[in-house]
Amino acid sequence: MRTRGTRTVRNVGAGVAFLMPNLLGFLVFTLVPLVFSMVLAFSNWDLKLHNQYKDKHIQFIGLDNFIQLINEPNFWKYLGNTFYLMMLLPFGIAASLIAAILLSKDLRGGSRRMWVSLLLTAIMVGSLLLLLATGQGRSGMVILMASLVASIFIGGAIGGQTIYRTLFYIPNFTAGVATMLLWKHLFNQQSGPINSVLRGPLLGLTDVVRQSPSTLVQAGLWVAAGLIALGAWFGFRRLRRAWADGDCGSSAAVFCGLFLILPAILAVPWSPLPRVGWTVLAVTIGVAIWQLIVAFRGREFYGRPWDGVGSALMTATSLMSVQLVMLGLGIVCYYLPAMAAVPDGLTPPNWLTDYDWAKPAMMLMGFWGAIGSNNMLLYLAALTNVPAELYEAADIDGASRMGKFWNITWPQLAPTTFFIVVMGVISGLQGGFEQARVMTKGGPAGSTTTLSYMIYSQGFEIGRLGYASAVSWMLFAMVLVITLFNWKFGNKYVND
Amino acid sequence: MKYLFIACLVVLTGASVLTALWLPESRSSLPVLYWVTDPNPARQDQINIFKQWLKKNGYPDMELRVDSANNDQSKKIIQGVSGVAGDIWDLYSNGETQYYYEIGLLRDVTEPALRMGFDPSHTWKAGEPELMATTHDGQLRQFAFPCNATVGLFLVNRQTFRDHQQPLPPKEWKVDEFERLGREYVRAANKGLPSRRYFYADGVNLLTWMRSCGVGEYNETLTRCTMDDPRFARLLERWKNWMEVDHIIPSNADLAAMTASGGYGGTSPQKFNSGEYAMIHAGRYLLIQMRQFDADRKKKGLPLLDMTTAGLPYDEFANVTFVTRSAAVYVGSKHPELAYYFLSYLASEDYNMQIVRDADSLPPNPAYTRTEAYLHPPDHPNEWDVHGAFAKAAETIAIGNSYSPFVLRQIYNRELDEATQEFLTDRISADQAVRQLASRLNQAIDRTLVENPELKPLYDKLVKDQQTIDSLRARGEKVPLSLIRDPFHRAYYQYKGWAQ
Amino acid sequence: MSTINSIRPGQSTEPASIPPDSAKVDKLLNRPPGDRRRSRSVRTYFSVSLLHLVLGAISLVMVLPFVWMLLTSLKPLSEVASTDWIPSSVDTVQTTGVPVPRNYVDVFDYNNPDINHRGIQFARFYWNSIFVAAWATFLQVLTSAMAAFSFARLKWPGRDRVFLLYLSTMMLPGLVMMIPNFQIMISLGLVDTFTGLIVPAAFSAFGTFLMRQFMLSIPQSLDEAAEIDGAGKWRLFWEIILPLSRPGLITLTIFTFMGNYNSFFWPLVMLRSEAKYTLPIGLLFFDSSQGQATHLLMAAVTMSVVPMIVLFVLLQKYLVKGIQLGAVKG
Repeated sequence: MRTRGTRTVRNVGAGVAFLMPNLLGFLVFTLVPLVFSMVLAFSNWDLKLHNQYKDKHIQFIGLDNFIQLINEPNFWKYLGNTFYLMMLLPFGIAASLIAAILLSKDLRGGSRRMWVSLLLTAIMVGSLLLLLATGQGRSGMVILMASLVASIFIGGAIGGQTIYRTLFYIPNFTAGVATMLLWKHLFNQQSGPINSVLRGPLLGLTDVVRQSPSTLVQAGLWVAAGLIALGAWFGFRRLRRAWADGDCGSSAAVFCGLFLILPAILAVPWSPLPRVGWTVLAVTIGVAIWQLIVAFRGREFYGRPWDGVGSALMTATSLMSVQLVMLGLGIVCYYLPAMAAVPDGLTPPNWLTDYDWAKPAMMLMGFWGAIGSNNMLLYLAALTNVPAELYEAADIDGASRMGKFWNITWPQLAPTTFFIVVMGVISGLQGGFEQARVMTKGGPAGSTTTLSYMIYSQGFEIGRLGYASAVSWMLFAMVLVITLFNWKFGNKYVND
Repeated sequence: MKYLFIACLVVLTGASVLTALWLPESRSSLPVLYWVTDPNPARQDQINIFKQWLKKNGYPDMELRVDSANNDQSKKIIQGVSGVAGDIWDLYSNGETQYYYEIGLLRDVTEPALRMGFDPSHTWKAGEPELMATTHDGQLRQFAFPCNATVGLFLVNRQTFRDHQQPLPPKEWKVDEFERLGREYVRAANKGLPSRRYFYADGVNLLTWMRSCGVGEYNETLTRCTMDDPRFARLLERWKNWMEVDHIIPSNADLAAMTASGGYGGTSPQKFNSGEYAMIHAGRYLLIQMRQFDADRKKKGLPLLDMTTAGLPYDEFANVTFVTRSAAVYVGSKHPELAYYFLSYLASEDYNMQIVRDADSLPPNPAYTRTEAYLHPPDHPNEWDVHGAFAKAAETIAIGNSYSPFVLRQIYNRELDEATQEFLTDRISADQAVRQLASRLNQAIDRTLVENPELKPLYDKLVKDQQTIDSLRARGEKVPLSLIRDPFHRAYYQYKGWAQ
Repeated sequence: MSTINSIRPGQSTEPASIPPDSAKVDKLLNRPPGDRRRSRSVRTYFSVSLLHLVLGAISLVMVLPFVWMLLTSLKPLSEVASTDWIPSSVDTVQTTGVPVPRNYVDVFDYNNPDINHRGIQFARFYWNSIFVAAWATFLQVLTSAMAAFSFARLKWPGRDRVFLLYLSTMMLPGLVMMIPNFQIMISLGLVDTFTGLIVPAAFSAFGTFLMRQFMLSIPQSLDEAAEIDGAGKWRLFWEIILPLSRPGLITLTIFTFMGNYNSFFWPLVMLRSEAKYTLPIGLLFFDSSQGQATHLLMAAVTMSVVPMIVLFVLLQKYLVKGIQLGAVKG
């Protein structure tokens, strides 16, 4: 710390001077618009009232915009769409973490000899594939695939992680209108490659379903129900243990537990067989009560009621997403025999033009980009910062791989995960505009319209600037609540 | 590092100079006007004729440039309010005239139109809703003049009907007959095929059909949405059956499954050409595409398309919907007086005959549809049965769109789309769909009045008119036409003999 | 999550239940040395091969869409819908003696209405995109580095509070500021100018944050040494801190360039003249409802994606090094 006055003065001058260019831009393009938009949100500025060529008075109308918003059914629908698309978030983060872990492993086996033998294997496998493909006189497609696989392996064996990192990151790197247009064509119902790949297996599945007794196929619903209950059990157990260890406060545990019951509750109205829904609900509640009883045996450490709600919530909502997917698959199983019975059999979906498939299609595209995203880079950077001694100590203890992950890697990555979750929530809440605009125009029937698209269409198509600002502030309020929530409860590892 | 940054700066500055030099020279010795329109090669032709027309009449010269990159609604609004939009805008039949008027982006051309000969008397009667906007004191003022006009009929491929040995559709038919013939046709044409391939038509016009049942989108004074009518719900159910059960027309899934290759007007014309659609709902402009097919057919030595038309099937009241592409003058234009010349050119013989030759739908002035060049273009004898029908329909049974000054068309479009899509995907029943549609549009009306209190006096006056109309109707008396704002109801009242 | 406890400061990292001399270690020690090495190397061989297999499979999924794109961009329009990815033949045109696939020539040929009916000025969009992105990147990297220097290496009262303010704006949805920013652009007369695209992109809280975190990791002693040498802050910045921040600078450059090159919303709202369009906006022309030229679109998409891939492959080794997230709270 410098103490001499002159230096401090010089530092102030230099500090301000260096900051100035950025600060000016910050003021003009961030702070002023921010205040301006805040004011707008409480006004009735509509282009029909006031613009360069019209000057009727704009009035402050208090909370009217917000009241109007809450009463607008479409707002809730679009908010629902936004949240639906955000279900991708846990999957995307998990995928990028797994990718980062895989990509940080040593791929050369530690020695030159190992590397040479790996390379030889890759070349052998590659050429064998090619030989098989060409020798059997397969079509160009097969040869193409074989050579692609071969070149990835050989490239991977030679270049190691550099090659894989590059390949993983490319989708994210090229993300934008170009890739969206590409996916729009990949998704084309008739000529798109996704459906031409799916068509064959689906026809095969049709035959299988037609030949097997329908009760067998429909039993898939029961399997799914079982998996949902299993997921709930796993989640409750985790919550209970975290609670017992003092990592998770009582209120937090109960609150997050509710998320795990949600899929079971939804199963009741959604399930085509009511008894499945009721059973899974009963079992889930039973498991919850059982875990509660176990919990009453006491705990080792104590914390405040809302401690650790952030990480617990992350676990719970991720599990909930998996459970919901299970539920969906189970319901599909139930309807499968009926779907296969139509003359055309099972046909691939009309991805972007079908009300129910448009959102999953967008999530599929998002997942593809999310694996090798910036999040993966952040995780890679964070993984290199995990002290090696921790792993060595764990090795001496004979910890399992999973144990090492949960006890060392995951807590060490907590600050990064926290950052990624916060940024993911922010971008997720305001996302979806580009896809909607480029791929579906928000359709079909508004099924891919997100809040950001609503802001665009209210502001720039309908001209209600005040109202659009109100929507964006609503969005901001949500971001703020979630972030504060995260900040307060999720980042205790960050603070330490 | 410092030098690296300086080098970057130098390179970037150089690039800026290059970019500035490369930008197209926008300076011109003549005043430059931009025409915001669609990317159609015919526009250049129309501009050339415009230049000749200016010279011929001794009008001031100017340079007109096509600006085809900004022809969508949100861009017009964004650029319009920023003061940087093009001088002449193409407006489409989507309530744009009324809406841009509300934002104050269009120049009132009522006076110049009378002075320079492009007032509504020079164009189709049914075009009024596209040219005029309702001011807040209830007056109608002119803001645009048509570039072309369109009514939809079924374009029929006679050869397809011969191939499947099915009777040709009549010139005029009711919905029941359409359904009966359609079922038979589809059954015969797809016999023995593994999947559906042949459709009777590419689709039907819901609005025209709904109006033919006597149901309008709004009431007589455009103050309330009236689509929550059981007749409209039954119509929706029937429409869905045509797609899902009878397969007379393709469903959304069928449409998505069709491979879309290039061409003007999308897939329909190509499926029509190949015989997969026996008829397509089309305006005269589709003949542009048909002529290209014919050129191809000539090259391959195939017979030309054997075309005729059929009317749209109706319930009780035969009608077609009249739409236009109209040109309007941007309020921020630096050369409004010059822009008026362009509108005046649209009413001229030179321009009208260009549209007639090009088959870019109907010319703005109906007089030119009575010419031999229109009815029997010498190069296209296979179209001789077609041109007359479009002109006749436009002159006799065409009705313009209903634009309520209290509902934004974007909201109307969105709600209509959502209601029908939710119905088609079995989310809601037809009755729920029409109720949802009407209630949301009525909410939109209420909201407009709250947001824009200046419209309230007009609204109150119109509601009073509506009460008068209702009480006259209840007493079985005739209603003065002047009270009726909605173009559909005007026509329908006259047809029913309810009007004075 | 229960076990997170174990690494908390002040607590033992070793769970007490497992004794240090576990059975596993025993087992390893009991084996003859040669045997152990071989079995371990075989095991490593298989586990590494498995890793390659998994990574290769994921890579394949990542790459396939691009392979389809590339192959489709070589096809004639009539084959686009075919399920066979491979074009039956590639039509080429001789351009200055080199055969170039026809689609790649046609994309630039905006005078040929048969192929490119709308007169899409692809070359222009291409140039504009790179031009705007380059300017924005240059300015943003410079301003961010300067601000980060101020936040990380200089001391002045209120510094951390100002930084927190910066940081908190990263959480604002950009959409909140879209409408006011547009009004500002109107009043500055910057609508439909390149300046209007570049200037708002020249300042970023994210860039400042990234650079600050990186600069914090440079030892503070360097500053003092420089000061003793009589170097001022200006020289300290240019000659010591900036060169040492190279990985951070490169990372920020990549991110910024990528963001601006792909930027869609702002140019969509701001630009009027077609001659000023950037690629993301211009590409939409190929996808218009009138005449889908899928083969040309794919050629255009391929070409718009290629600069990014090249940039990435060249600079990727710096990427991970450049990220010093550090403690978020700083």
